[in-house]
Formats: sequence, structure tokens, C-alpha cells
Amino acid sequence: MATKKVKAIGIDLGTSYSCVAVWQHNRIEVISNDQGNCTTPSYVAFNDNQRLLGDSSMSQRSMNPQNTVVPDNRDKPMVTVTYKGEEKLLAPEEISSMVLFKMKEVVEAHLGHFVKDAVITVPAYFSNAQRQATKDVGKIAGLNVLRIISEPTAAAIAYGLDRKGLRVGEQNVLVFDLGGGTFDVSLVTIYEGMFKVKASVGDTHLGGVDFDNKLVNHLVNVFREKHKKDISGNAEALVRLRSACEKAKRILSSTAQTTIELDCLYEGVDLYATVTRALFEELNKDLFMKCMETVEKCLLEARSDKIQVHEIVLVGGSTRIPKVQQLLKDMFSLNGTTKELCKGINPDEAVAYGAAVQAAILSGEGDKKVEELLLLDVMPISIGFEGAGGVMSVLIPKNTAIPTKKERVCSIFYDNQKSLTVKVFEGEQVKTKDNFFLGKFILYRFDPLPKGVSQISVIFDVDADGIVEVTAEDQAKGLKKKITINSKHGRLSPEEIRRMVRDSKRYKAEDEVAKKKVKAKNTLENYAYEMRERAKKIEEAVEETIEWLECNQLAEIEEFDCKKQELGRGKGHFITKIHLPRQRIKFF
Amino acid sequence: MDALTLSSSVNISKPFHFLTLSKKQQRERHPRTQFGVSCRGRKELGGGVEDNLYKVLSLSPKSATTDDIKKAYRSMALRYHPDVCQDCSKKEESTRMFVQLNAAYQTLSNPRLRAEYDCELGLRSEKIGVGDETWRYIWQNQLAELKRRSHIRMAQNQGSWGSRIRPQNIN
Repeated sequence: MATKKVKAIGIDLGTSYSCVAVWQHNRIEVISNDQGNCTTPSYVAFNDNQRLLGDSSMSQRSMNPQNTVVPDNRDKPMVTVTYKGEEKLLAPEEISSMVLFKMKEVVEAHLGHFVKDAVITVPAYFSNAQRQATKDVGKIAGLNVLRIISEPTAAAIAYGLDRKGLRVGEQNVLVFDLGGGTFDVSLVTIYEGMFKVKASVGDTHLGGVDFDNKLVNHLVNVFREKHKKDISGNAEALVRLRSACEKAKRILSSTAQTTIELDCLYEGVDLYATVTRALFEELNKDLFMKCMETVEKCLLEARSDKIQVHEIVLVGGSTRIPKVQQLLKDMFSLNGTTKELCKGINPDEAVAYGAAVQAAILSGEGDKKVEELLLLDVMPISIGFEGAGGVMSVLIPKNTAIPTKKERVCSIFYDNQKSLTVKVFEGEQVKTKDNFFLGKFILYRFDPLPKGVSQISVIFDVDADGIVEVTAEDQAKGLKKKITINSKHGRLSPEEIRRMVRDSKRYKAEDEVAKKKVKAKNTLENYAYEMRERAKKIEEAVEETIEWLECNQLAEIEEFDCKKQELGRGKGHFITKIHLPRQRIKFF
Repeated sequence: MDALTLSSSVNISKPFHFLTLSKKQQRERHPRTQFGVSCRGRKELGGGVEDNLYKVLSLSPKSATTDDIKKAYRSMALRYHPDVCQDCSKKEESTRMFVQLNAAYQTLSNPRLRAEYDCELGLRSEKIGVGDETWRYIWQNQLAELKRRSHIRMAQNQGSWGSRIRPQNIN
């Protein structure tokens, strides 16, 4: 029977690794890439010949460190790479779109047909601007982004769907999401298929790469003390060292000790070091405690106590670190009762799994299990407008469920004021100057009135996609003005997006040319080796015949004829094959 | 430069306005704002249901338990949330209904807010029978309670504000 086409996919777009899943065969399937891995490195590499995505970009990283890049969700720098001998300046959105493009390719290769619609996940602390930027990224990659959802919400969906039949009543799930580059803690309430985020706290600069860096710095110091050489300025050496430290970190999650051996690391000197789990934990002690502080902060923000947390769900590869798990268990073990962490969900796949569920809901796929689920998304950051004295006047607080609509009635500030500027901000600070400006508009032509008399309504309307529409209305005169924040606010202009879409298509075309070139080269190489083997056999036969002649000068006529025929068969074989390579070479 | 200012006046002859629920809701919703004044707001509930949040949830005010409220909210959310609305032409209406539902649930699921709301309903329904002395007594008690809560909120705000000195988000 024909397989039904998948309508929408779920993508976990991670800082270090990404993952894709789909609703298929009445369940969620996490899709493996062309190397058989369920997660794909979020790396892009450029060299003189081609662009590399996924595992192939990762494997050549140490040889090409300057031109192997990863999307930076933290500080958004422009990146310069050398591609086909030319310098290219890339925005982080372009790099992310290449990762998304790779994930799209992975899933299309598996499904056997094109896909268009996707739900993409982002860290919980992402602002509306950052979420809009992620939608832009999807567009550049050729995807129609149905929804951007938060990683912890997606993970909670994975947990809730897995356990839905087993529990009755309300469950408070703490989602502890420690990935490669970001850290999120969220408290999510699950009530009979309804998922609601109560609080979400994050650290934009904490993750697995930071743990690796502690070890890297330690070994750089060891190398300096031992060999009086400083490798911190050498990019190639550092990439090799960092890669080795990442491997060591993973190994230390399951053993107490390992060694790092790097031949000829710097100026001909080898690095050989024994690393213990205890050392790793000591180096990262401060960072681990920072994680626990963030958990406390999340509970405080949710106004919940530890006793009210029913489950702790681990998300992200770095949650496999034994010390992290131990600290979490200790924190939630109360009155002598040991709290066990939820281990039934694969930390690498949970987020993509949840995104695929949401994709199925939004596209109308799925079965009865999915039909009864509902994700109540929330505002990631408080939003409001500027009041008197530059005070942030919050209208929609952080963690308010969306869609939502809020209104406030205000008055003008000066006697006989004739116009009013409404400035919209997002952020958690008391003063607007410390928050993030989103947009503004001006309401004109008031009737002259003393201050405090005129009544202006300011309305904030947020739809299910998180798009904010702000309206100001003079109630007496019926004047009205509005601005839609998110449709315009992505950091990239429409022209830039169009250029990046064109660039993306060009990269894709160039990738395909490079693939064909590699394939043709491989075919020719194989054929040449085959020809060499046959030539060897012919040569052996000829030598054999000559030897026979030297030993059999006085043979009879019949014997000479017989030998000629034997060699002739081989010779004919050779002559026949000569024609074929000429034709094939022309073909190329 | 143009600026918005927030102001409202307490009209002592109209204590019910001073005690409207939406004002408390708005103060509850943004405790971090360091305002000495507050602003009159309107609940965004559709016509016909504005006076009774219980009707939005199809519940009876007197007999509704906390569990009833949760169940009602869940079943109606599954009906009205725009994500589960497959008919595109009804999406806008669906969103409007969901916004009302959320607003109602936010009040009724919070025991303190619900008690205040119930009191407000009670006051309105018993308005005719309330004498001047009883009215003054009720009003004075409510004023005292509001002051007490205001002090508590100020204390909480100090802690809350302090914990937010460090920036949480970098764009």
C-alpha cells in the first residue's frame, strides 16, 4: 500500500546538534541521517571546492578550523569564511538556514518526497525578535514555519504523550534542558493533555561547550607549564584539543578516568594527559552550581515548591553528566525520600519528538492520541509600553498564555497635548531604556484638554503565533492607530531574506554539482583500478608465452599454433576492452 | 517629547469603581511596576458575558469546585483554541472566545481572585438591601485589606526587583 505523505515535520534546531522527527505510522519517528545518526552536527564547512553540511563538516573540522562554523545563538556575530577561494560574509541566520536545509534533506531522503511545513524549536528564553528571526531562517531554508515553540514545552509534550495514560490529574514537570550551548529550566503543568508553561528561566551562555572549555583551558595550562609553549593562539591545535576534550567528557560520563593523546599537537610536541571524572567535576564545579541556582530561580518564578514537582525530565546531551544528575537528585530529595530523574526519554530526541507532535496537531494529522493534546504557549518575555518618566508599563507579563488581549486606559501627560507617541518594549527591567525597543507609532489631533482628562485606550493583542498587534484609540474622538510588531520585526529586512533565499538556492545547486563531480571522479577511479588489474593479467600471459618459447625452440608446428591461439584469446580480450574506455571517457 | 502618564482618581462616593476586579487583576499581573498610581482598565470579555465569568466556563457560581473549573477550562480550551480550529474562517472568532476563556480561568482558578470576584457579584446582587452603615463598614474593611496587601506587594516587589537586576536576556 502507498504510504501517506507526511505533511509537517518537527525540527530541534540546536546550537551543537539538530534533530528531526515526523508523525508516521501512527507514531512519532525520529529520522536518522545519511550516517545513521539520529542527531546531526549543526556545523557548516566551506573549502576550495564545496560546502559541507552535517557529519562531513564535523569530520574535517580540525583540518579546516577557520572555515567550519556553527550557528551562534548567543552574540550574533557576522562570520567570514573562505569559499571557493573567495571571502564570504555570513549572517548567523544564513548559517542556521544551512543547518535547517540539511535537516530538510535528511527527512526528505527518508520519506522519499518533499516536505514544506515544519515546527521548529528554540530556547525558552528567546525573545519575540529571536523567534521571528528563526522563522526567517526557516524561510531561507525553503520551509514554511507553522509555529515556533520552546524547547522545554516540546520536551514536556514528549514526556506527557509517553505517560499520558498512566496519570490522572495535574502533573508538574520540571524540564532541565542542558544542551551544547544553552541552558533552560522550565516548569510545565500537564493536565489531561493540556500543556502549560508556568515559568521558564535560562542562561544564554551555559552549556556543554563551556564544560569543554574548562578542560581545554586546564590542558593549555598543563602544556605551558610542562613544555614552556603556549598553544592558545594556534587555531588548529585548539580545535584538535577541544575535540579531544569533548570526547573525554563523554567518556567520563560512563568511566572514572580516560586519557587524551594528541601526537604532534604543537611545534612537534605531543600532548599526553590523564583526565579523571573528579578533575572534570572540580573544574566545572562553579558551572554546575550555576545550573542549580537557575533551577531555584525557576521554582521561585513559578511560585512552586520542590515538593510540588512530580517529575524531572532531562533534555540535551549534557544532562548525561553524572555530577549534574546527582546534584539534581539531591536538590529534590526531601525528608529522606530520593527523587529519581525521568530516564525513559532520550535527551537528544525529546525536543524533536515534541515538535513533531505539535506539527501533527497543526497540520491536522495524527490520531486520537494527538487530537486530544493542546499546547498552551506563553509569552517568553514581558511586553508593554513606555509610561511617564520612562517607566516600563507591562501590559502582558512573561508566561501569560497566548492568544491574549489586554487593554489599559491612560491619560495624556501635558495640558493641551495634541499628539501621543506609543513606544512598545519587551523585557523585564523597570526602565524602558534597559529593555528592548520593538516599535512605535503616533496618535495625532487630540482636542485641547487639561492633562489627565483625555482617555486613551492602549490595547495589546497577541495571536497564537506570538504576533503582537498594538492599538491606541482616543475614546472621545474615535481616533485609532495601530502597529503590528512581529511581522516587521525580524532583524533581517525582506530584501535581505530574498537575497539569502537566492544564495541558498545557489549553494544547493553548487552542492549538487560538487556531488556529481565526486561521483564521476569515483567512477573513473574505480574503472582505472579495474583496467590496471586486467593489464597485469595480460602482461603475465605474455611473459609466460615468451618463457615457453625460450625453452621450446624445437617444438612441433602444432604446438606453436596452439600457443599462439592461447595468447590470441588473451590479446583479443585486451583489444576488445580498448574500445570501451575510449567511449566512456568521452561520456564524462 | 510626548509621554503617556497613568492616573486615576478615587471617587469616594463611588466605592464600587474603586473596588473593581479588573483593577486588582492588572495590579496582580505586573507587580514589578513601581507605580504609585493605578489605572482603570476594562476586561476584554464579549458582550453578554461580561458580567459573569462563570458563564464563560458554563459553570454555576455557587456549586463550582476547583476541579470543576479546571475540567471546564480544559474541555473548552480544546474546543476554542485556534490550534484545534480546523475551519479557517472561524479562527478569529475562535481566538476571541479563547481569550475570554483564559481571562475567566485566570480569575476563577486563583482562590483569592475568585473570592474577590464572588464578593463583587454578591455586592452587586445585594446592593438594594444594603444600608448606609453596613455599606460603610464593608468599604472600610476592604480599604484596610487593600492597604495590607499593598504593603505585602511592596515587600515582594523589592525581592522580585532585586533578583532582576542582572539582565536575563541578551539579544
